[in-house]
Amino acid sequence: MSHRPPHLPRWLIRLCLSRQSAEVILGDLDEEFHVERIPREGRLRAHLWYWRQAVASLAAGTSAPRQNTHWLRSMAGDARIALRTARKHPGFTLTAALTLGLGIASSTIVFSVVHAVLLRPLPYRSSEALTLIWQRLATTEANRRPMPAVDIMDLERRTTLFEGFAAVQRPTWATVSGTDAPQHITMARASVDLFRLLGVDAAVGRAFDQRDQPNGGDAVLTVLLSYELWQRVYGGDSTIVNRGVQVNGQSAIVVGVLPRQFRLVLPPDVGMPETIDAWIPMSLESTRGVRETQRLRDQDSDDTGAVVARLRSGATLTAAQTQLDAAAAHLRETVPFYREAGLRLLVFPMHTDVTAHARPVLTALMGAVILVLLIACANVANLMLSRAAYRRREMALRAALGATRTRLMTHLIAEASVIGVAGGLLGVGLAAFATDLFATYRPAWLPAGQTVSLNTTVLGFAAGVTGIAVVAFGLPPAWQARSTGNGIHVRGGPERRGGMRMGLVAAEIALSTALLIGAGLLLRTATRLAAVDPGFDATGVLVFDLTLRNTDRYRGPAARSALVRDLEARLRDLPGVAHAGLVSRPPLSGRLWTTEYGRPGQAFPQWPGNEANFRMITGAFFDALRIPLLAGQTFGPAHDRQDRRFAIIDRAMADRLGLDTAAVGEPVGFPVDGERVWGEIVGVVENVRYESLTGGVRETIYVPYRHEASRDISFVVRTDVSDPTVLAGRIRHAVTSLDPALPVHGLRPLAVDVRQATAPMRFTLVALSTFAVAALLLAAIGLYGVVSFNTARRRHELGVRIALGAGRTAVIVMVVRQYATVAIVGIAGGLLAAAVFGNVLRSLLFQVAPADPATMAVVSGLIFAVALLASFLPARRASLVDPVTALRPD
Amino acid sequence: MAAALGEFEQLILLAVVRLADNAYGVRIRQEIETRTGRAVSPGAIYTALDRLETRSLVRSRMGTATPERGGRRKKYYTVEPKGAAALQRAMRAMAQMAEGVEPRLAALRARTFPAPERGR
Repeated sequence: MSHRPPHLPRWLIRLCLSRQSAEVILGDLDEEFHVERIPREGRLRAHLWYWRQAVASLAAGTSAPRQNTHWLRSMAGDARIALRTARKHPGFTLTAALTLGLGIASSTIVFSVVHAVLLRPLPYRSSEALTLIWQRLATTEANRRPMPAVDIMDLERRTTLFEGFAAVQRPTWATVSGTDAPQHITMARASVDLFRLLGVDAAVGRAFDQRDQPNGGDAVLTVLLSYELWQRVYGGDSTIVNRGVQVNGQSAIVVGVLPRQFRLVLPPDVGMPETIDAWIPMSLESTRGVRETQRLRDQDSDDTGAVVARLRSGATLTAAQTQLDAAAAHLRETVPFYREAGLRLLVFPMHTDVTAHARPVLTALMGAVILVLLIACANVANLMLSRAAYRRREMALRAALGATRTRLMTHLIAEASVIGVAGGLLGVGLAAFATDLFATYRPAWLPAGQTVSLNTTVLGFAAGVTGIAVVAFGLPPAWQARSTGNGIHVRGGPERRGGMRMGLVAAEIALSTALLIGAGLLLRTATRLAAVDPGFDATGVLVFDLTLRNTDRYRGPAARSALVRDLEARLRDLPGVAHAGLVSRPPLSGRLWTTEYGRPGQAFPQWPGNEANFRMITGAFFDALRIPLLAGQTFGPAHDRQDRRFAIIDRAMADRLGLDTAAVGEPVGFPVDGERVWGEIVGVVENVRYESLTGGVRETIYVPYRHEASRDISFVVRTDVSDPTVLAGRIRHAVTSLDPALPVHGLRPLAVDVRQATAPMRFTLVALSTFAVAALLLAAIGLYGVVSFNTARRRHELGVRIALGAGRTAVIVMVVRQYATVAIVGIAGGLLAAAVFGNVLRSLLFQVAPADPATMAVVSGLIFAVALLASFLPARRASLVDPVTALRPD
Repeated sequence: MAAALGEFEQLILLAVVRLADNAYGVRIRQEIETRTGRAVSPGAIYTALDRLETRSLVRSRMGTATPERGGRRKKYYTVEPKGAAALQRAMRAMAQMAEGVEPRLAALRARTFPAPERGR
């Protein structure tokens, strides 16, 4: 049975009917659905049929007096009357349901994201026991840094509360043999225990185990494929398991395929891309060399991105931290470097750690949608209050005929519930649409743990929100109805001024002021960000990636350097290309590489206190990105010589060294393969923002490509054509004409990476602005409605005033002034609320204070203007009334 | 004398009689729908059947569960002697009242709706 009947109607039937009737009715519906409707009418019509039958059955079943209890009967009666009332006033019902639906939709959408990212556990077995372990050195400013994998062996000996530890290295690029052309992939190295600790089994074959532990020498390399790579390159062929493939020109055995959509979710500062195409095992032994050279960290010897550990059941985080403290103390005793650098080890719950960066954005958005929902509720409450004023006679009549107060209130609450249910269904429908979109276009910076969907919890949230909303907007009219019943209203006596409505309008204005200030702050942030000088000019620049990991062809720096020289020349000769240069990791690409460095006279343990971006480049890199050279010279062929090392530093590092442009000719120390080397500074360039546009500028050290000759490289190509992408084909051809086995990867305008760097902020800005504009509109509609209603009721009074000689302008001014006061009260409240709301946004703002006076002034002015306009329009209409008509009794 | 049967109740009783051993929700519904063109919901049918059962006009028994019903059991109905009598009474009353009326109905109808094929 491939098609399943819709869930919601089944659930409703079970909820509303007795167990016995529900079972028989559902049985009948299911049978006919499967046997008749699906084969004859298709899926859509069958579903429609099911819904229609279910609703009709509900109506028939609940109205049958037979087995319903008394309160249920009276409620069903109330609901029927309420439904009839709703149908009789379609305009009112539609406005109220739509307003409420928008509020419920926005809060449901944001909650579905919050639920997927912050509330649901990570998609691993008993993931609450998973932790990440970091180190902190007293000599560095960073809160935490990856722990070298080599230290895991100490932790395994000195702790008892962990089931195990697994290191994951930052991925590299690789080529694998595909069905035809070699494929460029992203490959990561991890401890063989990683998948056991996560509790992830292979979809095909097996995950890594002890057999895969590399013990140096002749053992065969084993590789684990991602499901997506398996599908894309090997066509989902399960005989791939135990077969040999070529990885970087070396043969390897595929042991298994990971489950579909398996992701290792790590904090973004680890620099782990979302998709890893293949995994290879990593050995702790091989990192032992690093320990002997006093744990210098550089990327080729130990590129550990993170260490994952699983707590034993029953172990607490605090107890685990105590054991890590003891282990750190032991490491400080045995490793001089750690003693001098003041090592600490820290354990964090994995879920908290990987979602920390998304928390501020989501908190801000959740706050925003709650405000929108409140405004929507206030609007609907206002609508209901206004209508209640018209229905005073009806209520009084009901009371006079013997309806108790409780009965009247239940009746009004039933009316509110009908609107609530309509709004709720509308909201969930809209949210379903939006979450589908969101699942497809998920912003890349959101942790990829769980997919965003409308699951039971989210639907429960929507139902809860609807329930609370019904109380929020249903209670004020019901509360007012409580005082009805002394009989005088039957004749249509005097009415109160509607202070409650005014209060609601003031609250709406306050809420939208707060929200609009939030959006305004982000807008200012966006303009500030756009004005940030990244230190390079990305316009007209293309970037692409290459990996030279095929060991046969590009063994050793000399071979790789030769290829790079040839390729650079070919690229430069292309028509439309002005400059072409190489860089090991381009700016704002999300791929980090930092190194410690030292200056003469600085004790070695102090080095980790200096952390710089490390980039291998060719001299043309600076030309391609238009990075100004401040002093000295750029790299040329003279700097390729092997007996000496050279470096170019940026202004930030020159300042740090206290040398300014006099740095040229001075030495700077940095580690290479675990050894300290000294390079001569040959030039100073302007600062470049490699990591982010918002943070501080980290100093950068550049070395000639020829010296280290990293195997993962990127080329930046400056073009002098208006649309650089037209050169894509020529660039690909230039590469393949040199080596057909070199796949060009990720060819893109550099501007794409720059845009990506501001994505979270822009996402929040767009979302928050949408909600803020919606809030302002709702508030304006609310105010307009209240003013229209009140002036309509004061027609008589205004007519008298005009008849007695008051000018129309005077009447307008009188009415508008009254509401201006309400607006001012609301705006004042909103400014106050913004002071609180602003702090939620603090971490998203850039060069803008949460209490930015300019933003507050502009927003206050805007809201005031909107409020004046919303009250002016109905006031003017009221002033145009003919006194004779106005004075005529109704 | 017991209360007279409503029109819908008569339709249901007739369907149960026609279906003999196979009278359960889906079949009853389809029988009424195909013969009268009237769409009725399962809820309405069971409401009426429950009412008839409390008046001892029909009797029900639970049948076997089937996979296409999601493992739920069928509820079969049979007409009790009292139900048969009531139905017979109702049908006879109707037949006696209807005797010879048909031509006059046709004539009346033609006057009210002179051109039924063009609609109202």
